[in-house]
Amino acid sequence: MSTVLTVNNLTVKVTEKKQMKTLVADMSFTVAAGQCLGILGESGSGKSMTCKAITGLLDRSFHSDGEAIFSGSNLIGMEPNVLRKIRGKDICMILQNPMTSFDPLCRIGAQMAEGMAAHTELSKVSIKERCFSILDRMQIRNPEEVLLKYPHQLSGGMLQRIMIGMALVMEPKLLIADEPTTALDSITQYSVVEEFKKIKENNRVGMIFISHDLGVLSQIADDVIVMHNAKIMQRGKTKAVMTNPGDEYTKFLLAKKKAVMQKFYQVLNPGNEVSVCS
Amino acid sequence: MQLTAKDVVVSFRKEQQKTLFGRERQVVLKGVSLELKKGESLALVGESGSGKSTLGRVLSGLLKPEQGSVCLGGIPLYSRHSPAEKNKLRHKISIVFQNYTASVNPRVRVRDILWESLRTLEGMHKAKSQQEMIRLLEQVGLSEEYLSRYPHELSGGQLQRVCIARAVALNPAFIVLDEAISSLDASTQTQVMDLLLDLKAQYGFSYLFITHDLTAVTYMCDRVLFLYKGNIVEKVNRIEELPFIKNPYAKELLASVIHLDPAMVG
Amino acid sequence: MLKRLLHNKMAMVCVGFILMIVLLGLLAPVLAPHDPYYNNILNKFQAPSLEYPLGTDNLGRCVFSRMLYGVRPTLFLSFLTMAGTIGLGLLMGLLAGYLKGKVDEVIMRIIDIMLSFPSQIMVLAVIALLGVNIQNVIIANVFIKWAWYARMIRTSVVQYTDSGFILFAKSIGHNTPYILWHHMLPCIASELVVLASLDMGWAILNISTLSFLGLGVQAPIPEWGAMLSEAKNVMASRPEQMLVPGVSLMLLVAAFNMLGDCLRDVMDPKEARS
Repeated sequence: MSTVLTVNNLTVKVTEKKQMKTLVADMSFTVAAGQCLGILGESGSGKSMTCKAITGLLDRSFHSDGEAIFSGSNLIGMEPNVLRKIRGKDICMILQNPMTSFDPLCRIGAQMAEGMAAHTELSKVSIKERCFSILDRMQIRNPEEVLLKYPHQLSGGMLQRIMIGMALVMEPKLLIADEPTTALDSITQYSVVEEFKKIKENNRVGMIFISHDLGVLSQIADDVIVMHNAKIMQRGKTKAVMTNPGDEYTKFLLAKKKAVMQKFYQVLNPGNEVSVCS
Repeated sequence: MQLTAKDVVVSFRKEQQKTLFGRERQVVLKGVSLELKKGESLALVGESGSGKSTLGRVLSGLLKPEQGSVCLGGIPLYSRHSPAEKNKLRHKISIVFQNYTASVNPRVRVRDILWESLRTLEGMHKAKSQQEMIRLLEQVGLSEEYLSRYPHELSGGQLQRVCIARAVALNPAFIVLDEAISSLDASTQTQVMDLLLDLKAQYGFSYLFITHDLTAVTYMCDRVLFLYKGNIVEKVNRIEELPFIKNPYAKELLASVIHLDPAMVG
Repeated sequence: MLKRLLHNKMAMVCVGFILMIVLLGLLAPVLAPHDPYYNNILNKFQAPSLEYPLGTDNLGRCVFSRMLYGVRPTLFLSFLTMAGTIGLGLLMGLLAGYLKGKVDEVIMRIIDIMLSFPSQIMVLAVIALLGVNIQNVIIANVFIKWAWYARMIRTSVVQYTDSGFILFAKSIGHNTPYILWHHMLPCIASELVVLASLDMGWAILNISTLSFLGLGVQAPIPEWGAMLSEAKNVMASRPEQMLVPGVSLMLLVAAFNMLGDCLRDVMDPKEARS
């Protein structure tokens, strides 16, 4: 399995009120093609910061150190113009809130075409064809109508799927999804998670999936890193981490999630002893 | 004391009208009836656009329905009240919102947030309130030092706990929790749910738990109502009956719960 | 937030300048070397000297003393106008935005009517009706400007009315005056302060314009706009007479405008990373 991204000793600090605060402390991990790395953490753990540092989305008040080797070059400290060309083509990001990820004043079709026009040399006709194929892949009906709509006219779930489609059409080597299901309702969460599962099966793309929800990660991540207060508390294969947590924090997270799921399974299967994570 | 709603209809004027001075309205609740008894925890489940938040506001006295009535202990909520009735209705219903950052005035300290609730209680004065505030904070798992903090100095979970303390301070009979845990992290969600269960056991509150998450419903609630596009499509009178729901939308919701199952991963 | 204001150098310069002018106006009787009304035709158009720091005007009056005494009508009348405008506008805006329904409709229609009149013409019309004196100038200005404020404030109030904490206060039974005073006012205060400081420039220019036209402060009361008016008569022969009142007016209005800009920057929530 070829490695898509290698991160070594990544540290991110920010100057706040004349004091240096460490947001990410000495992170190291690898992402292989066709595999999904899950980053589990709560608000403030540094999980989003890690990925923003790798893709160069942090402004000058943040200081990043370390290495993030992608296609042979170190992304940390790379020339912004060079990094910009990689971002959106070889590395694609899907953010948390689909409603705010789109410009509310432009039609969907125009926004989809924009990204493609910036990174490829395709003609307008081919771009339009690609837009149709994205919508088709995401099983969105009436593609012509949808392309003419504004973001507020579509539901959050549909927007998120369009986001995923836009990311995939660029055929990236690395896909970073930052809490893509958190802002969605149950039914749409489920369909978006299914979407990501399909991506894993069909594409050779390396994925980083960030979430605070163990349930979602258990469905999609091959390996998982647990972050707390800027540090890695636990890492390993998802199954291993969940059956044998090791450190106190991961045990705590797991216990909380299990308590809720246990009750759920009890209600659904009364009388049967269901052990979660068997 | 029961909270009952009968045939509640709520509609809003549509933004896009077909004629110049058109009166087209978007009906959000199409004749909803429910009842909430003392000490029970009722879940109202639905997706965005189902009207569940609107129903929450109608039931807590914040939004007058166009048709239908809401009664608390037999007294209608939205009509003129005699002083005796007003007294009976005072502080019986409290509400906790989803967006905890917007639920508190960002310019005041926690102490003033709690004081705003406490000052409406009879026999309360500043000296007594200090003790009461500490007691409330300890009940929700926060210490005295939080009294002097501003909202932006608290984490999401802590701020939501303050909102719960604020609601509990009034000693209500019913608390409407409008997606109160949806914006929190997974483990904080569980902790807040445990807190709510504790408070219920201690004080006998009734909860109207509005959510779209069925795992929270099974964790916290005794009865469930499924709301779809302004109509109640399924009623579950005992939580054990949840697996036997018939309505297709409700079944789809149940099937879309994400399981904790690493066996799925290769 | 106050701290950020104190750190903003431009804001501090503006505030310092304005405070200095206010102080000069208050201490005019003490600081002015001569009686602003004392005229001596023989002394007219004197160049600046030790005795007359800024020279004399067409009637031999000390320009410096007139400038100092002139701060009072210029600045203080503007403050009074602003107070009246904001007071009335705030009240109407709060009521319209918070109570909504019929109250809102009625107030908004009145505002629409008020705003459809060209403001300067209205001021002139009101003064023509009521007569030319200082009170009427203020009444005319308040009469015109309150509608503008009311509309701005109503927009802010409508934004905040649906926030969680207002809803909660309503749900636990607080009455309208309490909610407006305790919650709504602090929320819109920052926007109000920015609007007011930007508008002070307008108020000052307005009073000066009216005095320039002879409709505001009457001669011989010293007022910067009136002084400009007298200077225009000798514009060809003695252009330097326009310099002092003109530049001072410009600096004062600029100071208020820049203060308003700085306040807007300071109160921008994106800058709030405390």
